[in-house]
Amino acid sequence: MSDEFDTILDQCLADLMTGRATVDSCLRRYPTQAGRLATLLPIAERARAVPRPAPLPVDKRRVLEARLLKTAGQRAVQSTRPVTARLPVWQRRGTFAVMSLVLSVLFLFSAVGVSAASLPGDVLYPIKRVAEQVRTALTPDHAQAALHLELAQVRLHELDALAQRGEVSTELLAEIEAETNAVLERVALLPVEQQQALLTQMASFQDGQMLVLGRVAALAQNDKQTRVKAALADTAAKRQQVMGLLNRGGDSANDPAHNPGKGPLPTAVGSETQPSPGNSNPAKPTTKPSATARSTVEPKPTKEPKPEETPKPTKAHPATPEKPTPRVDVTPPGQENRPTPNSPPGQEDSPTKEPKPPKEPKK
Amino acid sequence: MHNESQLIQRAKQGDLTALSELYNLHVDRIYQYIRYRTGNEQTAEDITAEVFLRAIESLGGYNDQGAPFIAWLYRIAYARIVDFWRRGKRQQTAPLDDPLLQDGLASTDEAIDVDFLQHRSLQKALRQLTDDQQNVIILKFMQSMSNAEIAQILGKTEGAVKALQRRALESLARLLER
Repeated sequence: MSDEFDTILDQCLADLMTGRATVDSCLRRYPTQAGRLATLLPIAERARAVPRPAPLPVDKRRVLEARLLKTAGQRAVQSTRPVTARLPVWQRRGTFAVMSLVLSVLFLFSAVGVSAASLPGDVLYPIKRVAEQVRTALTPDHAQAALHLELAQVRLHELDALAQRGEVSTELLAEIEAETNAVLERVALLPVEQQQALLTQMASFQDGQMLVLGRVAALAQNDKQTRVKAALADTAAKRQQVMGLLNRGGDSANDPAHNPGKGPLPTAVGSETQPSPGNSNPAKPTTKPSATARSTVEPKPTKEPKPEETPKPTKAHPATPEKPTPRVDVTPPGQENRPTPNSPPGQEDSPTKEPKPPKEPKK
Repeated sequence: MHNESQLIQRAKQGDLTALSELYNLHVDRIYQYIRYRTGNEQTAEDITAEVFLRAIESLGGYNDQGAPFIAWLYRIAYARIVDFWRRGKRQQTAPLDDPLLQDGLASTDEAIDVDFLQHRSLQKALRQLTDDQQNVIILKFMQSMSNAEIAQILGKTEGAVKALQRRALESLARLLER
């Protein structure tokens, strides 16, 4: 009887939580249990209505993350047994110096590698940006356009990942804009056939960019939302330019990019010259397209951008996986010493045993 | 999203990126749970740090046995919370610090009074439940977890979780009647 009511109660709760039912509809559905349900269901609703606490502050989250990574790193180093104990002193010292150098280099590469997934505000993010600057400095001119497109993709990926955490970065918006401008400026340095390939990649990137910006705009509020929507409009306009260049094909003779004297590439329709907050690269002056540019860059009627390659978010929301959950048929970790509920403070009970990690099966 | 098992394997081998990803996947829920249980921001931060540090220390021997990683984190958190209460570090919680009494809920005095009283009375009643009952109320109704997930965390069957939720709601109803 009790089991039956528990099942009914659980079903009603599930329906309430998914919006499939109300308290009243549950009472009507189960008239013989209505009395008990009428007492319990509203309590559950009150519990659901309790506001969620604010998440762990971002700065503290990152500090803790850095601390965890440092601890993990130290544990990895400590687990390495010394191998030089039996060597003569002179060999030990030399070996130590060499090992220190090797470890330092490995750590540096590891840090750069690990930092690749970092986001603005993360401890390793500055390393990532420095590595990008070094790379930019070492990249020859003919490869700069492709590099800036890649960097635009990285910034877009970061924007998307931050947005999934509830953060909207206008600084990243400005950087993406700057990188795409850099691509469009440098594409002219390429041979025609390479221009076509790069512009095709650019168009694909912009398709993904518009999808991401659409998502971010939905999350942003107030001024930031306005900024994101402006970026979205700017991207759409630039995509028209790119499609225009692509459709025009190899006709570079009238391409203003090959005629520096004719002025810069037409700026995006709708993009203003207001520098975004924190933008270290002030927006380039908007000049009206030259007559030549206007006559050659004839935007085709806007087509609905087809979603092609879209940057995949790296961090999913922390939703618990839906896989089947087998019953844990072992003594629940941490429950060997079941704590007394609501133990009065000050009792000198022994600490609760840590739930030991489930051990690997013996071979 | 990476397969969680792969992430765990990589983290066990010292891959800091994988470790970082596991942390970022789960820290918010763990912190929220601890915040609900302790009612204090600073305490919740401290215990959250303890949970993840402990997890790193024990990660080498971890084997999921089919249960999600977060279930293990919750169990660590639960143990830490119990130790917290036993050590008598119960702190006087300023009303507005308690997650059950977030300010800014309403703009009118009348609405504030109603919401404030409702949440405050629920908070007081919740604290008088047993640990398991508090867990089921928080995990089910405040963190929207399924019975299966709660069962893994608490080490019970789903049937036991259903019974526990009924008893928890009945206890709350009695306490709130007074």
